[in-house]
Amino acid sequence: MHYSVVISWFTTYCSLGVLATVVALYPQWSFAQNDIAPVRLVTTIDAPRPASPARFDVGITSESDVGNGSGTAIEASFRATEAILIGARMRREFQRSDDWGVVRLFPEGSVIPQLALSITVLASDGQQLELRVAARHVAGKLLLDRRYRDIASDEDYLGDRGDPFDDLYATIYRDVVRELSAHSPSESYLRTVSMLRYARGILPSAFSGYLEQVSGQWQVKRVPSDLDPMVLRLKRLQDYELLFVDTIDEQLTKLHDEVGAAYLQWLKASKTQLDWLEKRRERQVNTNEFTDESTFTSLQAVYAAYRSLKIHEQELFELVIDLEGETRSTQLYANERIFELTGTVEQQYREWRDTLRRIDALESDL
Amino acid sequence: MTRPILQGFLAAMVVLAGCVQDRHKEAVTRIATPIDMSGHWEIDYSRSDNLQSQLNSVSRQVQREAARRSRLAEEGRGFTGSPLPGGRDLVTLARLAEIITEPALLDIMQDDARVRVKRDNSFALICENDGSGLTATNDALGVQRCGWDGEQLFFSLALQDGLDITHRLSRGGDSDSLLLVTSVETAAARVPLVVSQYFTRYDPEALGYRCQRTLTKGKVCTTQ
Repeated sequence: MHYSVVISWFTTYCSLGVLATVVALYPQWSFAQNDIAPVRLVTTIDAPRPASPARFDVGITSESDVGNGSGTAIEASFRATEAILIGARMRREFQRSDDWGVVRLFPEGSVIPQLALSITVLASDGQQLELRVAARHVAGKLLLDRRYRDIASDEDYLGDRGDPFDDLYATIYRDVVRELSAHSPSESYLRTVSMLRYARGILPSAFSGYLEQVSGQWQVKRVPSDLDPMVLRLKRLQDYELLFVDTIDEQLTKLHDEVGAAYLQWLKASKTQLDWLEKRRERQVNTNEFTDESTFTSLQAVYAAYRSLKIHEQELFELVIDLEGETRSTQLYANERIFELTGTVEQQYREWRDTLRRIDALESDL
Repeated sequence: MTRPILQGFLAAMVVLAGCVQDRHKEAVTRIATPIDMSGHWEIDYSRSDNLQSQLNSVSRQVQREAARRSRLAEEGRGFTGSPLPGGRDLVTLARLAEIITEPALLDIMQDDARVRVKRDNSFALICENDGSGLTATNDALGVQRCGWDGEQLFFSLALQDGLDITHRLSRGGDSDSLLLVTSVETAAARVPLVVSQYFTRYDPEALGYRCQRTLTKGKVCTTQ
């Protein structure tokens, strides 16, 4: 069967333009979407870092909500990897001081750490980074839910300065510490809640009576004995779960080593091209006013800019795809057996948690 | 209708009115029947177009059109059509086409979901397409559309300032050649310059060295 499809991208563009115009005239539409977490614009920070109120363990999860402009699977993979890199960067901010317990990246939310930080990447193009960050302690108190936006300057990319968005991570860190200091119960209390919530998740029938929820907050009603065999078993299962998280962590460290430099290059290239584009728009370039030579120069610059951005983007995307292929399986030694987990990190984490429940069920039958 | 709603409606109409004249239309008229193009390819200069002759051909085309319009004017009959490009517009077009068609080596990787055409000294043309239609990818600097049109793989790039580039890849008559037809068009010239390039298979291992482009070191070649 023959068919004929006529696509007009310009019409599509223009339809979007109409929509954007209408939305711009009705700002309340966008407010309705955005008022959940007001944006905090980040500025340079020189003040000393505040100290953590206690040695909490920290669990960081990260995901991307950046629009997939190209709509391709490659870009989706890249954005997922970028979210991990940003989560790892946030972790390094916590690890800069010795005030904390263990700071880990978790594939999914967990009740094991006393402080959970959830990061959603909203925008990232080298010019700006916008994150939504929610921090919650394990007893359920929402400490913080904000959007942070940092605009990179040319100086941020000069020399060997590392991350151009350092100020953003430092600001988040400070806000978390401030809220935690103001609203947090004691470390030992949160560790108890953490242990009981974990136990409740594995064995709801045995541990549901130890906790109660009051206005969305978990409260300890009673505490099992440390010598309770079930508690000892659950602690071992928790160690196994952390073994998985730490194994994945090693893979993520490798990911950072492999992709980190290329990612920074891409950020830089993307910012350069976007800045160049903005400058052109500001000059209100009118092609009709070009001399013949400047027409060629202008069009050559357009092609060169596109080529440069694509080369950096493709090199990074290919690296991400290669690494993704390598990190699809994890071997773990636990309970005198070797387990092999496959799939995405999230799938492996779920599979491992199911395995731990089965181990517990088997042991409790003995 | 309240005042803000009316303003919104009018603004939308203004934008729509500006969009009536589409910059570019592309027709796909054949069912996608992807064919295997994977492998290493090098340009065959003997069979490929010479840019100068292509420029001459476009110039003659423009001259013929100018003569036709002149005749119509002398006969007192009007004509429709956009202004014809000047000689310098065509030279600009040719200089751009020279840059765009510079790659002499293609490395094509292909599976059911994706085709990647790596080109030396340029960016790769990548198309994620299941054969069911066109794929459009947008970014700040341009729009790329790609897909299979019958057995031809095509990429269409619409960049800033009215620079439009189309690449069409197909297998040559013999199975060991590949034809890449590149069309370059600018807002000023309005006439596309079309360059056909033939590629033949080659074995990169036989060269005795392998080159790889990296971000940190640029192009690195190692002997085998």
